[in-house]
Amino acid sequence: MQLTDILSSDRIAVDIAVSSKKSLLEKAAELLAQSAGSASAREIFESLCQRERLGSTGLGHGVAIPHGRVASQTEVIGAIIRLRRSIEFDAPDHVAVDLFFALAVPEQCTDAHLRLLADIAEQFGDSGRRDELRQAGSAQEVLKLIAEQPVRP
Amino acid sequence: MRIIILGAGQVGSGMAENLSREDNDITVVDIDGARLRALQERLDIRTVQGHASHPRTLIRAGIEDADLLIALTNADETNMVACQVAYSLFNTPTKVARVRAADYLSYPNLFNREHTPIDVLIGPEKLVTDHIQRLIDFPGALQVLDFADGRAQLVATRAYHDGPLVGHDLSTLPDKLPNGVDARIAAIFRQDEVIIPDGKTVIEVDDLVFFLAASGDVAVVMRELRRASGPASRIMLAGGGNIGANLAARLERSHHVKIVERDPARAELIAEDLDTTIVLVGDATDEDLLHEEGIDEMDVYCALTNDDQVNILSSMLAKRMGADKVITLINRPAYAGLVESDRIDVAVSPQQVTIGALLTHIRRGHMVRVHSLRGGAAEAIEVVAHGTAGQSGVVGKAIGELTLPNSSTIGGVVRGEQVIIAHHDVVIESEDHVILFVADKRHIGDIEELFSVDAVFL
Repeated sequence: MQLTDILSSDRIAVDIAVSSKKSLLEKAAELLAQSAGSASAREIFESLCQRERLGSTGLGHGVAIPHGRVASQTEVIGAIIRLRRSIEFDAPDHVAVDLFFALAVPEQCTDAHLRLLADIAEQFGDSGRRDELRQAGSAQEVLKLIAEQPVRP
Repeated sequence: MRIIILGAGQVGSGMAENLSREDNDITVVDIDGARLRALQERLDIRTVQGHASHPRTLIRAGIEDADLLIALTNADETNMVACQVAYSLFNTPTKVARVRAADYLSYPNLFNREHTPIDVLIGPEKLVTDHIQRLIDFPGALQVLDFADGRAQLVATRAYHDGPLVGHDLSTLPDKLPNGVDARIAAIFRQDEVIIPDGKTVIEVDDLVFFLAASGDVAVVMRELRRASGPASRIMLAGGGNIGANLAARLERSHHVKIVERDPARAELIAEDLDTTIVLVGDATDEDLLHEEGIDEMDVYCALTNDDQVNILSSMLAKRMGADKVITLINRPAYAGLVESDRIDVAVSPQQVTIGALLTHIRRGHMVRVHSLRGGAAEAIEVVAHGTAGQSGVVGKAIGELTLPNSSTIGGVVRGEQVIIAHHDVVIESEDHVILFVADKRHIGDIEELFSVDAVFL
């Protein structure tokens, strides 16, 4: 599974403003719920919140990967949010976060989903890639950047 | 976490105080401006004056960004509506409400998501009734806290000179206990000093000892610390309010229960619902009445009226007149710490019991149970470990390998039905319920961090 398979430009929000972790997760759930195979925004939101309580999905360097397993989700869906101003996200390095890759995963998650999550963490772990994503001018550009670097097998 | 507390009463203020010491952003809402000013002078919080369930008040309090709403106003209806508003208009992730009226609480369906969306319902009277009942079940205990649906219990008891373990070091405990019985001494309070024990620690007379054991083993373990006291049989309750009446109803099948109620009409009302309980009309501070009703033969005396002074006085009287164990309900936090002594065995603070129940839902991580102890200075918690060895700081590690804060110990682990008492070589598995004693609650954050999963846990 490639990252581009689970993304679409209408689920990429660039330079939006949110004021808290809660409203970020709300926004992420709204984007994720737009896809055909998705559960309701409320269901996804609750799953994202529940997952954050077990431990922050912040990776450090201003990046986080909020995700959750959602009962009525039929396929894995991704969304990207880039904030105009970063927010506190309880990241391990205590750095505020502005780049988010959110995922809604079916309840029965598989190894493929785990690998997907690991791939996202790896891409975001690369400082060059983070800079590119922060400089991209539009949702389409963000999508193009993600497509340029195919996920390693 | 961003937290809104509705109601600056005793529990609301207590919660604000408890949480403001941690890394939280707290706003307290109340209709009474004077109350809010008093609170703001003491604590680093934000306050908003207004009607607690009105959307406009909630917006001013920052509901749109809040992670948690705790509704603790005096009116059940305000608390319920505030949660409804928070859910329907603001998507607030966690909504906790105190609801007192037993009539509402007897319809659990009322509180599901389609109707009144409250994630956590706190009924203080039931919490206090359960708490006191456990204290009556174990006459030697000063605290009995349930974990893992009652499979394991953390018990506090005073060490007496006649307990076989007293004067010996803890490494001798396993040899003293019968085969198949195990326990972990989690903490010892000696005067005001806390001791996190190891095998070389020697228990002294008068130590306050907290131990964890499987529920069925508690009585056996307690016998190592003090002479065996048989199960309580004769109980006298002062005050026929909801707590007194419910407690009598629960106890009367297996105990001889007397209840003293001041108001004749109330006494008549509860007598109708009770079966073998003897309901007496009278004043709980009346020496003659206590004497006539055989106070000297009582195994347990519980003062449960809504008047702290009456409860304290009647308890001291009952103890002096020969009641074996005295339990006293005390609402004012300042009094609660004051009176626990030779005169009163256990002071039960409804606020502290309620705060513990609330904290369960506020702490980060998968908390199942949090009990607030020693006036809020200490906590006992049950937390579920998740993830693989790579994703969690605890899974796959032996208890001896974990770096816990100084003031903390693991008492044991509940794995499915099985209670495993903590030893250095017990390896923690995913989904284990780990029971910890944290003597200094400033270290709770470290515990939360230790048990949190890493970013890629799915």
